Amino acid sequence: MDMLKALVPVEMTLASNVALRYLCRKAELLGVAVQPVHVEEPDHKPHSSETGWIRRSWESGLRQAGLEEVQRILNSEKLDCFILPNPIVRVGDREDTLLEELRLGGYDFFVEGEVANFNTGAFRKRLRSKLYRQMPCPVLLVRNMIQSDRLVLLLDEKTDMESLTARFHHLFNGRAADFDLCAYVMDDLRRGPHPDELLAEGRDRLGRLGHEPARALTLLGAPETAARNLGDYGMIVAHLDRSSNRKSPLTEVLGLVSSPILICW
Amino acid sequence: MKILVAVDENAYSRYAVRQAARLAANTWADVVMLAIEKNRAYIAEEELDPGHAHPRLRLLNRYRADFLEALGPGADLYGDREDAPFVRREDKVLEQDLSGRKGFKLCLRGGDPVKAITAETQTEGCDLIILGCGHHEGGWGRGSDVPGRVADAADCSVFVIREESVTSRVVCCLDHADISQESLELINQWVTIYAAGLEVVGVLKKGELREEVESKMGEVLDYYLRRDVHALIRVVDADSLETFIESGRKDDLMALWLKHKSPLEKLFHSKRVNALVNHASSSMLILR
Repeated sequence: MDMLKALVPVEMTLASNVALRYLCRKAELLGVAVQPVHVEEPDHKPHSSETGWIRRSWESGLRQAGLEEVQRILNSEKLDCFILPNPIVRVGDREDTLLEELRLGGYDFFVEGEVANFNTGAFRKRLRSKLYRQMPCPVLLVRNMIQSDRLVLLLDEKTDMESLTARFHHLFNGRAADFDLCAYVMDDLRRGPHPDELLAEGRDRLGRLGHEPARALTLLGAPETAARNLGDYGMIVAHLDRSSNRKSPLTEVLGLVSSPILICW
Repeated sequence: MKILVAVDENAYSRYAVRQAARLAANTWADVVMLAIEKNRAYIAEEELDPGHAHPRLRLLNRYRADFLEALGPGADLYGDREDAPFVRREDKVLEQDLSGRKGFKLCLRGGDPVKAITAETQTEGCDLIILGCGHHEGGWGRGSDVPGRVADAADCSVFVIREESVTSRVVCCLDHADISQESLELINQWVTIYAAGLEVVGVLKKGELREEVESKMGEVLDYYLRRDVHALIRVVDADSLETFIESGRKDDLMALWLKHKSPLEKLFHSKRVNALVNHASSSMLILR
């Protein structure tokens, strides 16, 4: 069984700290090697537009400072998981740099932290960002260090089952993941597809790949209620359509939950 | 730690007394139980025995029995004496000292409940006031806003407990970095007593989590994780904080770290703390 490779920004923030610690706690479940990355974003003062050796030495100073910061964070956390020995430290625009690294590095998923807000606007803004719209792999967005190892695959009427189950299979094949299958419908059960149909299709596709959910359940009601009911899960796995700009009940649920979410595209 | 438990004749006070006993059983705090009566100048007090002149002394004794019963095996810590007399202190307060190995006093004051509670808290040097409260209204007499006014006026922490709420989640709002170890431990106590989940909510100012608040949230999270308390973190915009607190569920305990000159204190200044405490659905813990 191959180790998965995850790109993880290491920054001096609470969100980054929580993400790194969560990932290391779940390293066994995910079978993951952590590639730390740190992007120093230059300010836009005139000196940054200088060319030649002045700029090069200034950039190398920034890189050195970034490297020291990453080492300091990794050393202070005493993380008990496999962290690749050479952190990647770059100077440039954060989104562009991370996208480039994700494209070239062949990562299985991208991991970053986010402190959940009751106002889901920040989450929707994140989904609309260039990084999220263009990243070539799933993203694990960590909001809290949840202890539970139970996973749930969350389905709704717009879920691309093929894509979701294929991603799930790629990430969890051969690992003893205890997972449930859950269909979320906000209100109208008469509008198709019915949650039972979603569950049946999900179960069928997963079964063909050799995965059997422990439980299949339907969640009904407002996003706030659904988010609260998902609170016991250690990770929520869902598919989102990046071509749609529309605010959907599922994105509201994902915006509100406290658990980490693995978003497949 | 010294706790002042303020009581009136309503059922929520009995509930608050029992919750106070659970805290006392865990912390071995000294306890002052206070009842308030109307000032009545027309009573010839010296001609009556104290029980007849001041019916609330009987109320205090009943609550004391409830307190000792709720303590269970640890009750002897607080003494089981019945004989200590009520004595009139210099400040006209009737006081009965029933202390065992830990301090336990029954006090009766006259006058305005808010002034009586804050004055007794200062006289005794209490760290925490516990008082019961009805759902959606303050209780403590018709149309009264006593719990909110006490929460606003007191210098120490105040816990307003809604009757018969089964707390399943403690939500702590934090907007500054100056929080005391005692307040962290107090939260820890309630989380343990109620076997509740814990959520630490940082307050965003203009959409940003200030650096010192972010770093304090990290410390608070570490503090609880080291004690095996499962803590979640979240943020809320300052603009929606009031709505967020008011929308707390009946089974929530909302804890606010208030500090003089903190944005949270300014936001909930005076009448707003009062209104918030009186109208919220959840129990409220004001930490100072």
